[in-house]
Amino acid sequence: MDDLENYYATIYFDPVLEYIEQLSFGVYEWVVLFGVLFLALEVLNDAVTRQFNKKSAGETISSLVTQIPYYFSETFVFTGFVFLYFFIWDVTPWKMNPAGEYWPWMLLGAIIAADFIYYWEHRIMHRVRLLWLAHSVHHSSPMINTATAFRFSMFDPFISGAFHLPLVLCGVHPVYVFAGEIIVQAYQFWIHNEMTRKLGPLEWVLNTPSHHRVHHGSDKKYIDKNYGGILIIWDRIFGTFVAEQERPTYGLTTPINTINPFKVQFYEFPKLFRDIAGARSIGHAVKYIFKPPGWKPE
Amino acid sequence: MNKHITSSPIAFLYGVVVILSFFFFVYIFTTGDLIGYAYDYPEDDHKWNKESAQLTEAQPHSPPSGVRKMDAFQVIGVSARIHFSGDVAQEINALWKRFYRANVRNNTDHIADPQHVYAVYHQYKDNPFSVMLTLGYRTTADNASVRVQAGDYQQWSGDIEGKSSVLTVWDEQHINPQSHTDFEIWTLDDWMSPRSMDIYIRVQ
Ligand SMILES: [Zn+2]
Repeated sequence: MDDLENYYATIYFDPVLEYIEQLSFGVYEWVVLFGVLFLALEVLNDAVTRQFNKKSAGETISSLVTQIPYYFSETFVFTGFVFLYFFIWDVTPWKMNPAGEYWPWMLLGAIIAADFIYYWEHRIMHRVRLLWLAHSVHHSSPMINTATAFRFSMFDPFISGAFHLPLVLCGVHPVYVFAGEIIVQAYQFWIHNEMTRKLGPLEWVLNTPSHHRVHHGSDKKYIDKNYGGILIIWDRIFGTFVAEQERPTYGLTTPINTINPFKVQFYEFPKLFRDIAGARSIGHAVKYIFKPPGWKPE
Repeated sequence: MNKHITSSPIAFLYGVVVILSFFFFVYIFTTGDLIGYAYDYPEDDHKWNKESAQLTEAQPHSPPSGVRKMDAFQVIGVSARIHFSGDVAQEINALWKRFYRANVRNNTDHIADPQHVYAVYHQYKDNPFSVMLTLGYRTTADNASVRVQAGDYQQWSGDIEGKSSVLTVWDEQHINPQSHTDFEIWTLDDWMSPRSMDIYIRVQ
């Protein structure tokens, strides 16, 4: 039995939590790795074609820096939602797969459901000023490259967690909800660039770099279009689709003109506070908060 | 029409990398083994060394909680030979993953007791130093993976984090497992996470 002394067990596992961890951290790491590679090629391309300058370097760094507050917030908020989702799952009387068994078709269903949710979450983030406070951070850069894909507000994780909750209430095991959410999120990293032009028939079904450039455009014809996550068909169905024609003017309609990390995170906040403070009635104040950005009393 | 960004041969390379990364992501998702690539088992650094062996010994084990008479029963599930020359924890972990992925509970008929997973250690061999481990459910079917003899079994309370298991009891009690078929009974909760485990060692 000598060799049995070699046995030192660390068999700790909780398959469900392990799977979430696998998905979220595993995918995140690979996405970051490939993101860095894509970005390096973009910068190289810009350098070779002499389009790289101080301004684009500053914008790129400014986008990457948003990952710092985002990462901390995401870690805490996501953990909180893991507990909340499991708590709710525990008390949900109807469950599609009570034991969390692995069913490939169910994972596929969860991804499509999460993509559908992403469409509406994204659309609402653009059309409700309170949520636009957070999402505007992603849109405030006047250029687009892979770094823009990582440009987030530290408040984004709250919104995402809240919007996916209905899936758990429908009886989808939290692991599938997280898996779907994470996969849709991970998809976003390759569509923020100007290197990829159009992709033929893929443009019909998938959200592509071309479609997403339109989404980042502040031009009148492009604004508030192409909200899709993985599939662009949601935009075609719900009437928010626009194809890319001329190169979009990226950024906010009132340009942010700063790479100061603090201003980037909170750019829209003081503007909303000012509007609320100047509101003539409570009704107007509430409308400032929940109406689309740019809303003003008649 | 506004001019698009000017591109260089690097754009071609970019396209190739995008396509390759697409296949890579499809691959890691469909094999469902992200952790294998991203982490390569974080437990690796817990591989046995003198210090950790002492740590194991210092762990006080709960005393045996009595002897139980058991009828013979059969278990159906997934099996693998665990080699003690390798990383035992990792081999066992891998078998559990197979067990979950195979979805044994839903893909097997005639399961007698779906609330409990049986981990049966059998066919112990000295050379190579190894033991068969079967993870499964009690079954009434003929095609069982392993049969456990009737007899008196000493019960110990186990630890789901692996600090005590059939293997540690064999080791600490200096049992010669040559002709033993001993087992653990794992109690799982609603979403199949282990909540408790008991160890059963046959009294010769
Ligand atoms: Zn947006």
